[in-house]
Amino acid sequence: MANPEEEEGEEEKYESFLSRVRRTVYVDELTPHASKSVVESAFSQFGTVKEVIFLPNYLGPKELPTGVLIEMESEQKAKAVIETVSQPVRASAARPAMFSDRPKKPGRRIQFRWVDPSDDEFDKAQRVKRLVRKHTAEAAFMIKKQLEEAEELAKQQSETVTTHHKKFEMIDKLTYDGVAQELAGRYNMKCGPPHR
Amino acid sequence: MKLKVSMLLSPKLKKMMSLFMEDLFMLQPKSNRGGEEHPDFKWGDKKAVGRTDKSVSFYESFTFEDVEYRLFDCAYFQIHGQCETSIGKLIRMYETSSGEKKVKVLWFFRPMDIRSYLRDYVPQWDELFLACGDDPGVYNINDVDTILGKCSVVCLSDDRRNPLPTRRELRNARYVFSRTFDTKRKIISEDFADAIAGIRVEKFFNQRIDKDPLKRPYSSSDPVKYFRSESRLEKNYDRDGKLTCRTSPVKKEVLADRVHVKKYPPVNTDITSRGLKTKTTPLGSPLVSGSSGDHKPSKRRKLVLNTPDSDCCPEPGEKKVTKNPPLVDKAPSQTSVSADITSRGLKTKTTPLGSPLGSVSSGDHKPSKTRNLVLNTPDSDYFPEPGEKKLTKNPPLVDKAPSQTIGRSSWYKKLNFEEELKRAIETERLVLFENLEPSYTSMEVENLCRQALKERVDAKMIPASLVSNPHIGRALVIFYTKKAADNAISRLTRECLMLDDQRPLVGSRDFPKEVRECGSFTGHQRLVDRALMSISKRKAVSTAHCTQPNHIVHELAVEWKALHAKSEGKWKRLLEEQAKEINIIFRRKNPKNVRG
Repeated sequence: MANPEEEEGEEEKYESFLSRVRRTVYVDELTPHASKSVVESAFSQFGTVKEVIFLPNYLGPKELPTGVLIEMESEQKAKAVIETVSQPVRASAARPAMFSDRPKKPGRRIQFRWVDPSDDEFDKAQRVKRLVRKHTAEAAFMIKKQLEEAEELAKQQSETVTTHHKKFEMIDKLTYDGVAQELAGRYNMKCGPPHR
Repeated sequence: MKLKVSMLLSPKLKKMMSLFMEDLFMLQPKSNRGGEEHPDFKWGDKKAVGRTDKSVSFYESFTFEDVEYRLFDCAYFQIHGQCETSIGKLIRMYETSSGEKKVKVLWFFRPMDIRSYLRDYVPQWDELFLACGDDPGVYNINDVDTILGKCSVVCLSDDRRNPLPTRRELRNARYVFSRTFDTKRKIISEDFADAIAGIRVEKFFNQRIDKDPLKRPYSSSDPVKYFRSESRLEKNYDRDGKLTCRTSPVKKEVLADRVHVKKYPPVNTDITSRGLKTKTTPLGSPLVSGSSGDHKPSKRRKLVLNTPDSDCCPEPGEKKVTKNPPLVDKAPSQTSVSADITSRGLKTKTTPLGSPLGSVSSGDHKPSKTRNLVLNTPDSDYFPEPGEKKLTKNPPLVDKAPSQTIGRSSWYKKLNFEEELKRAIETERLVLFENLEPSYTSMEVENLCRQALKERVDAKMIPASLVSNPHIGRALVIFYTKKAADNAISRLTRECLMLDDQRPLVGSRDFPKEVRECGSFTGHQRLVDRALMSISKRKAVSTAHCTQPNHIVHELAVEWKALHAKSEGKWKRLLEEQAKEINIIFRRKNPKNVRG
């Protein structure tokens, strides 16, 4: 359809959609337990949050963390979010392909043709198809590996954290009880007064 | 037993079969209706009166055998001696002074009819070609009796004056057309001239409901009609599905020799100079009758021909503004509410001609009777199929075509997609499409399937994420039957469907069978002293603040950052490699076309 009025309409829609994309931050590695309100309040420290869209996870292993699209009120705010937010949550600029309700690209008509087996291109096309399948498999494998690494790290960290925590607790307890002071006296070291 | 057969058929097959059966079905002899007036015929709104011959009345619609035909509806016609029906658009309907009810029909050609002129073009299985050109075979005037039934034809042309049909309209269309066939020059073309047979070409395109209430004096009645026709559509379709079960065995001897190629008589009554564009139409009878006098002898042998001077009447000049209030056309063959297509500029439709409200009541009606076309001799017979009345009145709904049972309207589709997905996985109707352009929308994928695979589907593009390949889009496509899904996959693998930019479409069933909720999540530590926080926050809060260097979490955060950076690097490399691999193949194909 080459109706100029329509095309304009489409282009406008697409333009406004693109500006929306620029304002939006894509956040992943978010816990699946996070609810919409939590996310909103968490990100409102950067500025007003216009909208929060959770991306559905149709495919992929179930452990893959959910992605969220967070629309801020302006592009700068979005950039600020991307730069400041740190781990393990990841924030990056959103891409048009992430929006399920995107309008279609203006002026584009889908064209297709069935390629005959006798055509030259058929053979190459088959190769490309195989390649695409291979790539998907590779990507899936990557994801799996990533998840494994993430799990490793998490396990490691949890150990560290708990040990640290235990240490702190212990020290806390000791100072509280006054044991630390006593020991300090024995070893001729300084120690603060017990916290009450 | 016929019931069972039809239940196994896919919707497309059903359609084809019903078309085929209709055609064979129509060749039954009919009972004699000779002298009686048409009992089930009733004119609709009167449009105008003939200018020179006041006793001729033009109408906008009529009801025949319980089916309403509006101007610019399409209908089936029986051609004596041919196996297949002819399909034409009703461009004028009138009653003469002697009480004869006539319709002027502009013909569609089936691919079979013009196969010698197709050359390289491969038509779709349900594609027709609109007749155009200077040749007399473009249209004819027939008796109303010759109408077998209504037909829904939708225009898929790219012409800017043509509003593309909605998904629903497409689904319900029997036939499509996007090209014309010039009968004189024998050329198939995608271009539509401004007028065909003296009628503005916009009338032949799909019609839309006019949004401007001022233009339509009948606007109040429209919404009602629209809804009624919606349900009509579905009912009719059911009836069509039903038709295949109920057709009686065909009498083979009736299959006469098929005459496929039309021979155009050398007589050339100049149609374009019919003076329709001028306000003062001459008596017109020589032209009009002349045109009707011409006919492709091999095909339209028994069409009713207007004898000159009898009831031929000049039609009111098309450009006469005074007589008829400008009414905007409505869909001749489909419901006209467009769900997704942006509002069409109705500026293109300022026809001064009082083109009547096209039909909103669209949809196929199964042809209930067949009859030979009436010659000028009054004693031709037509015999309704015995027991036919039963069919028209109340066909029991057996198996609905699958597209009806799964018919969902688009607004609640999004919510239920996950459920649909689960159901589809169970019934093996789900197919994964890969190698789409990532910016495609779900609608486009559905359209693509409809055109390329001739299947109605529900599709959803998988939203991209940081780890998805930016060059490759994927979509989940749910077919209506397992068989359709199987066929699609096998077809996509065996042959090759090439999209824009040299992307062959990949269809497969490789997806994790279980798409469950995310389970436990790694990376969030629970520290014991969080008991004070609210429950929801507790689970999510460790990510909710940015760490400062003196915070205990900072170290951990740093480690995560490192991990992320590493994985991002890996992904980047992988995607680069993949892009390179694809490029290599493309470079061999076409050195200019480098992706990535």
